[in-house]
Amino acid sequence: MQKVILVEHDKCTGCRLCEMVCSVKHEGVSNPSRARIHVIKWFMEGFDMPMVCQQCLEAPCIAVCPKDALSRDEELGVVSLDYDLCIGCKMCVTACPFGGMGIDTVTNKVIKCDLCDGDPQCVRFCFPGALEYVDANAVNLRKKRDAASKLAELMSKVAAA
Amino acid sequence: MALNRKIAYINLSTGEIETKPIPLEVRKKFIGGRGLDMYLLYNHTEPGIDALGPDNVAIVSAGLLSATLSSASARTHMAAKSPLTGAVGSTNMGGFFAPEMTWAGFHHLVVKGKAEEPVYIWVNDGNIEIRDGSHLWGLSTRDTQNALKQELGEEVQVLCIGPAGENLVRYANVMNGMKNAGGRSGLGAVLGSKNVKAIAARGTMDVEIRYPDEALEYDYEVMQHISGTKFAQIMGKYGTMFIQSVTNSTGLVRTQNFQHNQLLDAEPIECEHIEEYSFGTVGCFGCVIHCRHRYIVDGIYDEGPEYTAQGAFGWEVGCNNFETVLMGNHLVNHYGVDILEIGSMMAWAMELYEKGIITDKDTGGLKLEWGNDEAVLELIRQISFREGIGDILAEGPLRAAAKIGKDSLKYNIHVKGMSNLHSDERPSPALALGIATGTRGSDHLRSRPAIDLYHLPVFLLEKVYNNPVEYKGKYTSDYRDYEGKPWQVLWQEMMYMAIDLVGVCKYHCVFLSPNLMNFDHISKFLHYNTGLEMSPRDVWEVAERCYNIERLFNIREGFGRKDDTLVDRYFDEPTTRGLDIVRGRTIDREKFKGMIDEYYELHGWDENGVPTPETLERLGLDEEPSHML
Amino acid sequence: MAKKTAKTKGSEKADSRIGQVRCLNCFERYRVPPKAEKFTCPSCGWEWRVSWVNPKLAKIRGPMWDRIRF
Repeated sequence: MQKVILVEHDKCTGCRLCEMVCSVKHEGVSNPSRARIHVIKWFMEGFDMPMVCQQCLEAPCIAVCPKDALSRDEELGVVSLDYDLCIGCKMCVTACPFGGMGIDTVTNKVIKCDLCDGDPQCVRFCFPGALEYVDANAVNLRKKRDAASKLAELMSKVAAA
Repeated sequence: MALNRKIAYINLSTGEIETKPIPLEVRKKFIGGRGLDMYLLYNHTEPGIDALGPDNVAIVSAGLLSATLSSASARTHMAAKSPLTGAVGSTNMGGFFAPEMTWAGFHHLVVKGKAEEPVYIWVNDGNIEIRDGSHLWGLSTRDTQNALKQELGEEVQVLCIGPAGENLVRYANVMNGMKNAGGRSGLGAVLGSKNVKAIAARGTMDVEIRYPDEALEYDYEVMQHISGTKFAQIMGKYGTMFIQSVTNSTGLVRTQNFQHNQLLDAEPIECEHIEEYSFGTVGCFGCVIHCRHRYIVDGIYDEGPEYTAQGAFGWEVGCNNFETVLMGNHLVNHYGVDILEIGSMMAWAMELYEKGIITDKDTGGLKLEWGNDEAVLELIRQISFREGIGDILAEGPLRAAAKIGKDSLKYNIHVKGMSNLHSDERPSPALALGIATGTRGSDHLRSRPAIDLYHLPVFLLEKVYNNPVEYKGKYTSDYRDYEGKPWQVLWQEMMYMAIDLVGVCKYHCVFLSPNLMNFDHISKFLHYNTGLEMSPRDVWEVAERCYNIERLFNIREGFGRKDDTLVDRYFDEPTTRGLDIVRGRTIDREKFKGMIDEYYELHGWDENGVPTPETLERLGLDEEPSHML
Repeated sequence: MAKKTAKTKGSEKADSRIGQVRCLNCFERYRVPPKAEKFTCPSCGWEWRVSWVNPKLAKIRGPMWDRIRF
């Protein structure tokens, strides 16, 4: 079963540990500008949103790549990048609506999330549980359960009264 | 590599900026962070300078392990001569500034001189510029940060002062984000006196991790351990306000300026109420505990509040209203003033008003009565803008007492001219010793053996406190005892110094729980992240060296044994409330003197608290100032 | 909030400490029934109010304020 990274932004505490471990895992350095995931913050409104490659089914980045360096791996559910074919034209950076494709200014290559080949480190280090790596068929049930438990709590207060 | 971050000397008077690498021998001697800041402060200032003059030096730093895999490696430290006390000024804050400055290539910024017009300092990927900041002058701490984010990019981190710092309130703070405050010692006023409105940083440079795979595994292990402790779970839900459940319930808090030690009927400000206002918690860089809430009060969003907010705008001023706590927390963050100092100063003003030493004539009609929520919130504004009575109170305890005259000083609760925090140490000698001997003044974050309050069994105290250096004396579990406490205070001084050297948050170390990080972990983090080989004993020695430099600074400014003491109320007025075990207690003068004697001896200082020549030689400080950096 | 908590070696010991609180008056430890809001210490008789951080972790909230006067 394919797994996806489920992002639950209301659990995110904005600590940006995911950014640091991503860059350490892939490049051996702590440098969020070389991470594949970023937490976008509105510090005066208290809103934090982890943003990561969505591993689209009909990915715009795949569509625009002139060298077919990007392709979808159905087993892992990931859009993967073949660096041997990539010419660094950066059309994929323009095409992606989510900012999922980044540019690594040290190597000058484009970078994107590769799900750490099935063991995403950002998920592992997310202690509040804002990032979870779940089976695709369990994602909506999980969100439904979270919403239902909030409702159940409210209902118990009403029932008690 | 963290070891190749640079130091920058910024001379505002001449406009010169010099950047240098930090030699490895300096790193081995002082590691970085607060310790290296103290070395720089001692070497780059002369004794007797005016803290609000151009000769003072403001040093902003990130710890050596900032932005590395070391649990919450988020802390920024700032040092200067304090305008409040004239002693060492030191303040530490969380958030995201230190990591950003580290990614920008710098660990230490040494700001000298004074700019003619308001400026801000821009630190960006190895470059530093002094830029015109007159458009920022007068803005609140939030508006300043927004303005700079608009100008320089959303991802910049800003360290700034607010109106209080601009008005040279002697306990103004520096702010980053919504609530990360460098509050104690009044260093916001130092930046204000230099016309520095803000320091902005943005970095995209690598910080190489020496052993990335091992660092990831070890960091995960430590974080998993920390997040599983009872302490972390409680902190993550209620923030530091949970401490009140123990201290106010027992009778260990200072209320109404030390007249009582417990707020009765305190249910309205119990920490559980935060759930009604909060919509989640937020954390600093890399932190698994996330101890501050996102809350909305009166339609205003802010973060926090902390135990000190409950104290300053709750029991200290006799207010028993959660919204006053939330609103007070918002205002001090907005104006950029130290929450602890302002709470204590307001309580002191209220006692003076109660005793008739200041009257409506002095306050302009403001009724400084216990429990007057509106007066409390209005006074915060008056102090930040130096209006009315605020102008006198903004001067800090000693100078305000000199202006008010009569016997106002007798009612002030301070150590070395810095107000005490909102806890009552009369029942707990160890905590009393900690605040009396603190280098920056009265303080709970430089030497508080807080776990003493937990009545831990002796075998556990031995396990914690005999590592890495053994104490030859006896430990006692009861926090009302005097025996064995000087060593606990000393050990915690070393622990907090070590944590500040590497720039990690104290809530992750043996501060509020005995099961958290200690010297062993710091040693391992240093090894995996930077390759620096230092045993726990080596880390202890560096901490001891840096603590002694702090002490030397104070000695040079004229502080000594006479200042390592508490006001008379600790010794003469017994506690009035609380559980039987804490009621009717004072600190015994003779036993306190005995604790100070033992404390000095354990440190290797003479009977006046001055480090002996043998101690200085052992620590390699006999040639200070040595100008290595 | 869902959290990843540690799967520590002492998890059996941790289970036996569910609902454990320590009386602030006499420092004895006792277990409080799930969802309990009050606790009277069997050793010293002092009465406390209890709050729950999560279903397994209880803490003392404070004393019965209306009973305390000096």
